[in-house]
Amino acid sequence: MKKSADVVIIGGGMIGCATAYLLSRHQKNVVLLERKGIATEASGANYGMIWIQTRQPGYDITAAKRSLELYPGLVSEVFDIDIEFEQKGGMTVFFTELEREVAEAVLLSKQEQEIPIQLLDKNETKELEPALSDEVVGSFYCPIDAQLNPMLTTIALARAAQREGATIYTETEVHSIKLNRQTVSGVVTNRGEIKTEVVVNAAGSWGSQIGQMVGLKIPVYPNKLQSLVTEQTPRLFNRVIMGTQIPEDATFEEAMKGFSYTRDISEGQISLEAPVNKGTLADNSMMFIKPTISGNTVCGTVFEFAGHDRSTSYEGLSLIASMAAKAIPALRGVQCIRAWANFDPYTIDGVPIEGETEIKGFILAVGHGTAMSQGLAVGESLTAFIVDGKPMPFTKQTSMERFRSYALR
Amino acid sequence: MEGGIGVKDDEDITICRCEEVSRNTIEDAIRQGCDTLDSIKRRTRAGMGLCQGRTCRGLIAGLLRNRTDKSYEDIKPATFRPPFRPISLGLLAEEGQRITEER
Repeated sequence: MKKSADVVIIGGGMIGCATAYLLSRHQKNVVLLERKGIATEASGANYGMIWIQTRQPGYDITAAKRSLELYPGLVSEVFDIDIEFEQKGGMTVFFTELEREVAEAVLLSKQEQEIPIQLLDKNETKELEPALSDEVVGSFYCPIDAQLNPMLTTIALARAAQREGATIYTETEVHSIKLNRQTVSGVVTNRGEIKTEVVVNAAGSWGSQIGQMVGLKIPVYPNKLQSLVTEQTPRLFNRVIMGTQIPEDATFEEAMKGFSYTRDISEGQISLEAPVNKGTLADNSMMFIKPTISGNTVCGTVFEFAGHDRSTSYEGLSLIASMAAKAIPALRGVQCIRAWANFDPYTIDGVPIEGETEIKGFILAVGHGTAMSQGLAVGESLTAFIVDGKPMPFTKQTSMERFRSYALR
Repeated sequence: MEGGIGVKDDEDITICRCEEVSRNTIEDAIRQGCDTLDSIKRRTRAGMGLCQGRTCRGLIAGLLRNRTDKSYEDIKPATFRPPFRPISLGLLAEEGQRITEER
């Protein structure tokens, strides 16, 4: 094992691999450590969406748009494997008049964020996706939304990083991080010790465990998502289709909140402790269906807090199947062959945690629940920070400091 | 003949029949550094098809053992989860609909 590095990145997911690639291009001596394999956790088990239509103002939309700009160049110039990138637009379908009315109400704010979104009626929706159920009353359609294969994308970035000179150690677990007067001085692994002054914590939903090694409490937790994969079929539909999380009996106000895909932290005190489940799995479900290049359909999802318990459940998979079948009735006749659970990194406000901490040289890049949309931009801003000392963008939104301003309990 | 998969050293055969992944493709992945069943699966799709690796996982383990310094004991199996046999989405959906209606 290498004895020293300019930067040690912990975590072989999207954020870690994107950062390793972009940093290596600036001739930093980069080592990436991964406990299992590249893209083994959330980066290999998500829906592979680069979605602009659901993005929030500020950090989120900016990072996603920047990432989307960077993908085509990587695909044509850098990657040596096909990441199955397709920019076919993304669709959120509505089954109730309430959903459609809420969509009408948020359309303007989406347009103000320069999200090219269209509100389609039933006929326009069916024209784009003829396989959709007749129950669908309309949709949001964003033509710049894209999809990719998340496993292959993360692997392609890791391989690009290696070509630029980065060293990647898989099946390598970090045991401790050495400090010298509150400054990073090294990383101890099961394979040996590496001297370094900079550590990037890109451990996703394990980010808090890495934080503990330097005495920091980082409020990032695993949010378990279950997914179901079908056998290969000819394409039944053309693009990623998503549902809203609005219950049929919601009031208009509740529906507005449900539609924004944000976590509301404005009311009352909030906790930075591990979150607890509210309601049943059915209450915490959201429809995703993705047609993949290989011909399989990936269906999701139900959310729950269950630590790092990796099991899938009959209840969860049944709910996922029923949401998919409701949207695309032709899926009923297709066989399901595989299921998985993965852990999206969760933060109380839904925003990642980034930037340097009170421990000098200990840099955070955790909590990216939609890393396929954000990862490349994160790698870029971390590189500019590490190489040139350029401040990270949107620090008010993303730094650990923000948690101090919340009314904590 | 060599141990493990029972064919000549240079013979390219289909290892994963569901996803039509050849021995050469898998050995390329091993040469590129994939040294676990899981990383080979992610890189090549071997074991991701209808049978979920029931046919090919032993063969891939054999290739891994021959081409790396790993013994069979070092080669960890992939995670196994239901469904253990393909199940129609419509059948699962009936249960899901029942749960949703009971809310």
